[in-house]
Amino acid sequence: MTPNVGLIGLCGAEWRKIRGRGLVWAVLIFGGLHGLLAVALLKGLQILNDKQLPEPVDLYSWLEPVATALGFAAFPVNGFVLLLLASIVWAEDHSLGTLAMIFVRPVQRWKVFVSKVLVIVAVTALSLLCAVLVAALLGMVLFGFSGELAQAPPIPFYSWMGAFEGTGARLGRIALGVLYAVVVLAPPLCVAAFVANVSRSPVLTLFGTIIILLVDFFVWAGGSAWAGLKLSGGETAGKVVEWTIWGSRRFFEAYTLPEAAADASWQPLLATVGYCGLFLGLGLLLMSRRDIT
Amino acid sequence: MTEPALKIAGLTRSYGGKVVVDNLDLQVEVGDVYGFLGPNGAGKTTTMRMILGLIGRDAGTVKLFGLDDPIASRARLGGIVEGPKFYPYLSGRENLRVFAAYSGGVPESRIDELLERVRLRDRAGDAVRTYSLGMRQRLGIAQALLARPSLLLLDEPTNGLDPHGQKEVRDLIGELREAEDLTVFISSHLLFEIEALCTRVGIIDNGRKIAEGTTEELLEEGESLEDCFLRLTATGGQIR
Repeated sequence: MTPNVGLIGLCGAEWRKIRGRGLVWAVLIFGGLHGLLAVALLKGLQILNDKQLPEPVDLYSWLEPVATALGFAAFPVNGFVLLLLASIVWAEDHSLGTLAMIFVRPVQRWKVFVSKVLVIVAVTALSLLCAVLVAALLGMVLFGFSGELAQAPPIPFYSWMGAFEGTGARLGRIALGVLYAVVVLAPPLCVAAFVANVSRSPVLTLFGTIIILLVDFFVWAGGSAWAGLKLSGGETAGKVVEWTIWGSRRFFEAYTLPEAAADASWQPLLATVGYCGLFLGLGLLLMSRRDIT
Repeated sequence: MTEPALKIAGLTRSYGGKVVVDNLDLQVEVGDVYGFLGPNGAGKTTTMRMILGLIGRDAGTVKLFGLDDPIASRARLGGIVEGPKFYPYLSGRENLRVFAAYSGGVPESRIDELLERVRLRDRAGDAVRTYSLGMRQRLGIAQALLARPSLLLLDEPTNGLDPHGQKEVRDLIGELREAEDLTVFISSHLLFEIEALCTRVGIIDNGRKIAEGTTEELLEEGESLEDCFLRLTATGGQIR
């Protein structure tokens, strides 16, 4: 009788590997540091503001550090740490030779591939939640539950909250932001899936993915400059940059917009999903078809 | 009629135009300990990789217990090619748990039983990076047996071991064969190992089978398996 090798069991195996490496804690602690950084930043701003105003005003509630932490955690610095984790998850079984021990078992290769995707997504979400949780706890202690946000100077990452009335609406948007951040962090992790199955080495996966992302960044930066300078073909360049991986990061900002304005997020979302599908598809094809030597 | 444990027909594989395994036919009956002999580069490991489904084949069929569905047949198969590989930072027990998940889950009692059988219970909690080569080889055999396979494929299982380690692994294979009711397929170029363990022997050279039979059938009077092997590989399989 053929055993039914379920995805939950396979995800458990991937989890055991990264936990054994100490990577889960490393990623969670790094995620939590973003929460700490956000709280420190807002506390600093509060102190500066207090010095400038004749009477101190309680600007922030615990929600603003949470939104700020989420903005930080969705940034490429955290993305780099997650890329390090993804490189190991994708390529280590190749480099250690353990993939040959796995594929002699009655398990479909696509299931092994999908279990790796699920574990990487789960750790990415956990990293973001850790940032949010640390910021929420420290924010409650340092800033309390109410604040006069309208009087705060406009600062990236949290000023958007003024557009939403009430704690419930703001909290809902932050929860949505976690989902958006997972999506916006996904393309580099999917590029790693492809590079890992070509290179079969965690180190080459990490650097190969970084090179691809840097090329994408320079296309975005060059195209943006071209479009900005209104040179010949600038309009085309402006369209091209919207479809780069870096350009599609604009999707993350959409969660801060009211519903009507958020309709503009379909294009970067399509680009993000497109890149994820393309690189995951190529990675899966390579893992399924290539010889294991 | 009982289906053979392993039946290979017309198996062929080439790399970059060079034929490494050439129209190979083999049959291993249930209960056999089959020695797969050949000089270095003869095509033994490539053949084993094709049997285990790790690499594709240009032509031919591989049937395990009459099944040619790779997933279903692998449920009855355990194997190691070119030495066991582990996650060095995990303990022996944790490694077995990881591999058990890829077999659809194995009870913890089975892991305990196998650790006992391969005499690693005392070291089960230690990281595999601290294991000697012999211990890794024994743990490799334990992981291959997790899902209670009927056929065990081992590629040069004593390679790199000192004489004590070689004897230990040979004895272990003999014990496990009895205890687990296994059919065993061993590739090796260590002739005394094959002679000590195997009931039937197949010899390949340049990707082609040049002889097959029981050791009694292959050996001439007063001849050792080593002499037989050298004679056969020198004459391209012409048995005098």
